[in-house]
Amino acid sequence: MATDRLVSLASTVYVIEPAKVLYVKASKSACTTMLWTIIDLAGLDTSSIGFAARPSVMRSQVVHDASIHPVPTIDHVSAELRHEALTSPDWIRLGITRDPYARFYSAWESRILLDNPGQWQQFPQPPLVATNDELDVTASFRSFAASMMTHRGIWQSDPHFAQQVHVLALDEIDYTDLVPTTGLSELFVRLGERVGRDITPGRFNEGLQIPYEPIFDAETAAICEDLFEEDFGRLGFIRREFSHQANVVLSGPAKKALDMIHDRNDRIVELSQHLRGLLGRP
Amino acid sequence: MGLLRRRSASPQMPATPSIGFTFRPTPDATDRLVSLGATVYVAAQAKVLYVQVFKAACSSMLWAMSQMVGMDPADHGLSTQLHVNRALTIHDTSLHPVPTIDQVSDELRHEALTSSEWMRVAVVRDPYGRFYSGWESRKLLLHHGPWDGYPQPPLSFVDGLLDVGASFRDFARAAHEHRGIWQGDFHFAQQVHVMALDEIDFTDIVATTDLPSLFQRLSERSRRRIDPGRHNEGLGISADDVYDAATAAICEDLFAEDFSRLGFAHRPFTAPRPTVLDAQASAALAMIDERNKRIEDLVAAIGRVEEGEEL
Repeated sequence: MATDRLVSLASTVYVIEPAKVLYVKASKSACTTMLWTIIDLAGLDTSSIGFAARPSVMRSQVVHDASIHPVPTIDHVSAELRHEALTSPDWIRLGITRDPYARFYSAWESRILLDNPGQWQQFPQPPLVATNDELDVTASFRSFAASMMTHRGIWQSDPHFAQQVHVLALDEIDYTDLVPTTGLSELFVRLGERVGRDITPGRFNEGLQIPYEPIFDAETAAICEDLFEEDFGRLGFIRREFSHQANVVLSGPAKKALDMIHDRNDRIVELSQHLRGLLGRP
Repeated sequence: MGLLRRRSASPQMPATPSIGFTFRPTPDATDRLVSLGATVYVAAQAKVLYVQVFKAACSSMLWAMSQMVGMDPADHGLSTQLHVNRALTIHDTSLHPVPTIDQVSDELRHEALTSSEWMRVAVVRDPYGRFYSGWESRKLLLHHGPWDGYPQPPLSFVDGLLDVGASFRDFARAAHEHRGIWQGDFHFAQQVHVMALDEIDFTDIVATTDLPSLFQRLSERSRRRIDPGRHNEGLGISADDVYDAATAAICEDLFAEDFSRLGFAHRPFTAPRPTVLDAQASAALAMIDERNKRIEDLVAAIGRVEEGEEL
């Protein structure tokens, strides 16, 4: 029997009333894809989304600005609709989950290696292992993992690095569907059947195409398993051994291009700050 | 009379100069500039006139000019023009502390163009390297601009990975076929035209390879430390990696006057090196494009808000 007991989340819980779907965003688990998907599910045109002044580094990421997302979050719907969404057997209550090893690496790559702007830039962290010409991805990630373990309280307060069970408020929402990212295709078919039309979002997760498995050694895997212990224990992900390690190094054009990405991020931040100043927004 | 012959007639010139010249006296300098305005910078106190040549260390030179008049680079204001990184915002003439020649008095303009006490300087670059760099920065790195609409082939891929050399060689053929369009753009025009070589009596034409000594001289001249750093962004791919004989011949034809009048020598190119980007570099290029587009959006939004529109 589902109950209405959610207290810890608000602006990451989307209520798609026309489809009777409640979606809870878990950062770094196909959340950009899902935020575009729920616009489609709600029967809205993607052009209905407003302009995001925040420092999103890609057009597709502007969908994370809840203030302009056309689908309401649970703190913006009536008490009756909230109650129905959280309790009715007619509703899908949906979260997407991801293998913790992959999610941990992906969060580091997007937030630290690519230097996407945000609060984590102020968190304690080691420098990237790099020279002007090369960047050692493997050494940088392993060094970060060790440091994050030391400062886990700070890092895991950020949703990109928090455990998924917490970001999903697993103890406060009676989910009907917890779907791993590997099951997205099937999910979209089911969602399409639910609304009577095809749901075919693109894939919006950007990445450097670096396989994460060779970057984990036994020590880093153990750190990950400790940091995300509940994700392993409660979401059904299996601990693995990483027997094949490789030193992934960005050099030549890849390193130069990474530097250009950083320069552009800085430019986006300064333009965003200026725009928000003009608009009188914090 | 060609400039190289005038230069070699000067007793102060070395017997076998390589590229351009320095300290060429211009006692007969005249005020006849008609084709340039906003790309000619006038630093009155230091008595330096700099003519911007695109894709020839121009960002570094614009930072150097700002230092010449005492601006701390950290104090450079926010540009809301479409520039994809902060280093390039020095191209925003509305913020640059050094006026351009269309903004100074007639008297100062005349003095800058004619006085023997003034340094009239341009920086020039090996045409092979400049042609490749123009393509890499405008097309490969997807700086969006009017060149997006010029006739051009698609980029070339091998098994899903970008082949830089093949893409450039394809582009070179298209640029040659449509040279009237491509060379109407400053980034692809001949340097002798961009710098108005026949309209300004330059005292110094300096190759990009000689920038350190130029900055030393500018430091002495301005009594300030001129150390602008290197602001040209690129993938680290050398022109030598991408040219074959046919592409070199195209470059030599497109930039014939740069070779003949600026002292750059034709070079033999045989077999280019493989320059297929790996998966990480290819993915990173896509991310650069995403960020360029986002910067475009933000710049456009700022413009709308400043004009009183709502977002």
